[in-house]
Order: sequence, then structure tokens, then C-alpha cells
Amino acid sequence: MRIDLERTGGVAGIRLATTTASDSLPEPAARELTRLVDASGFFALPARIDADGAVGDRFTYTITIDDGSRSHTVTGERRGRARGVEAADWLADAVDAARAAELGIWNSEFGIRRTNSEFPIPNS
Amino acid sequence: MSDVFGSLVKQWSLNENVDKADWLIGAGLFTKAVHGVALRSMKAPGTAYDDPTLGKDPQPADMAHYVKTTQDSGGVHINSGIPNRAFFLAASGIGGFAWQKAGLIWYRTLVGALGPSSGFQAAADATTSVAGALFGDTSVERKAVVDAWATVGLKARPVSMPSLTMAGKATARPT
Repeated sequence: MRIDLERTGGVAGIRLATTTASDSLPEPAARELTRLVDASGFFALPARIDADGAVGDRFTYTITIDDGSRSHTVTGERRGRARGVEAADWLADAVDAARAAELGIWNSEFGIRRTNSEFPIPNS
Repeated sequence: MSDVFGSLVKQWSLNENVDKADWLIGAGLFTKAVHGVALRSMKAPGTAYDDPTLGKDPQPADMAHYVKTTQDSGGVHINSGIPNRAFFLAASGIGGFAWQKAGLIWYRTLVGALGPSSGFQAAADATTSVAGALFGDTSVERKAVVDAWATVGLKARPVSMPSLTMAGKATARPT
């Protein structure tokens, strides 16, 4: 499984992007990543998840997941809605998956990246 | 618009004229680990940073390089390079302290002539109209605004506006 995560927008307008492949992860982490992606229902999400109303300074996230047999890309905002269906948790679930896989979550707008040791994979 | 007024506050506080101002947004925010001077440059959009991790400042400087994207809420922090540069050019064309005339034109436009969904063309039209109403249709101020938008690729189509007064105008920095 391969995951591309990109965050754009915010007041700073800085683009942050990272990619990971599950076969580069320790086996427990790869297994946890697969579990989290499955739990998020990611492949059933619409391609666009727009927020109610225009808030130009919010972050826009684009996540692409390729599990070998299928690839899906979702672009949207954390509190976005899709076709009237609440999809507020889509991003949190996907970001949780990214964190668990040590995709590289940033602790500031300005280029300081958390290291693996700062972001341990939770025991489940 | 936010960048315009943020830069004006900085220029006012430092008592800088259009030539002395750095026209940078977020100068000094980056650590030494980042190759860049600021988040954005109003004077030269696209040149604020070029970093292995963050990539290159994606801002266009004119409409020919407008970025159509679903990222960044439709590229609002990317394409803002275009109107940012228009303000820099207008202020530079007028000269002096940017908050006194160019800033007044943009302020009056923001509070009276634009809505939440107004686009760049509307901003070009409205700032030109306001400049004409404030300073006269043959004024150097209005011409500077028209020329600024033309440089970034927008032909202003001003509408007739009631005459505006300079009441409440920005004054020189108190000493």
C-alpha cells in the first residue's frame, strides 16, 4: 500500500507533502496502517469533500491511497461534507493512518518535521 | 487584501516609503533550515522561497500564470500574488507612503465595493473606480492603478462612482 498525503493552504499557504509505502514499514506498522485505512472507509469516499461556506484560510488536504488493486484520491477539508453526508471524520481517520505509518506529520507551518521517535506508533 | 493591509501596518510602523519597504509577508518566520526569506513577496511573487523540502514559492506574478487548482481552497494563497503585485505596482506608481493614497484606495474598495465572492477583475474595476472618485479620473493616482492592473494582465473596466472625499484619509505618521 502506498499513501500520498498533501496539505495546502492555511494562512501561510505552505505546501507540505509526504509519501509512504507500507512495504518500507516494519511489519506491525504496515498491518496497523492497513487496519486504519480499512476502518476509515477511504475507498468509498467521494473525490471531493467540500466545506460548508467559503473559508479560504483553511487547510486543503489531498490523500491518495493505492492498495495495489485500486487507487483513490480524495481532496477536501477537515470539516467537509459530501452530498449532504457528514464526512467530518474522513480526514481524522486518514491522518491517524498516516501518523501510525510515520508518514511525517509536521509540528509547525515552517518546516520542522517530527521524527519517528517523537511520534511512536501506538500499541494496539 | 490581508497581505496588503498587513504590509501597510508594517510600513507605517517602520515609517517606510514604497521604495524602502520590503513588501514581504512573513519575513523572518522561517528558520535557518529553510531556503527562503518569507512566505510571500508582493513585489516579486514566486521568489519568497525555494527550498528542497517546501518546494518553490508557487505564486504567479500575473494572470498569464494564474494557477487553476483544487488545492489551497482554489489557490487563494497562490494566486494572491497577482493582486498583491498590483497593489505594490500601484503604490510604487503613486510613490511616497503607500498607506496614504494606494492604501486608502484599497481600503475604500474593500469596505464599499467588493463582496466575499468578488474576483480579480472586480477588484481591478473597483479600485480604478474608487481611485477616480477619490483623486479624479485624470489623476496620476487613478492612472497608477490602471497601469498596475494592466501589468499583471487585467484591463480595468471602471464604473461610474459618486465622488468620494478624502475625509478620514490616512495621514502622515504621527511623530
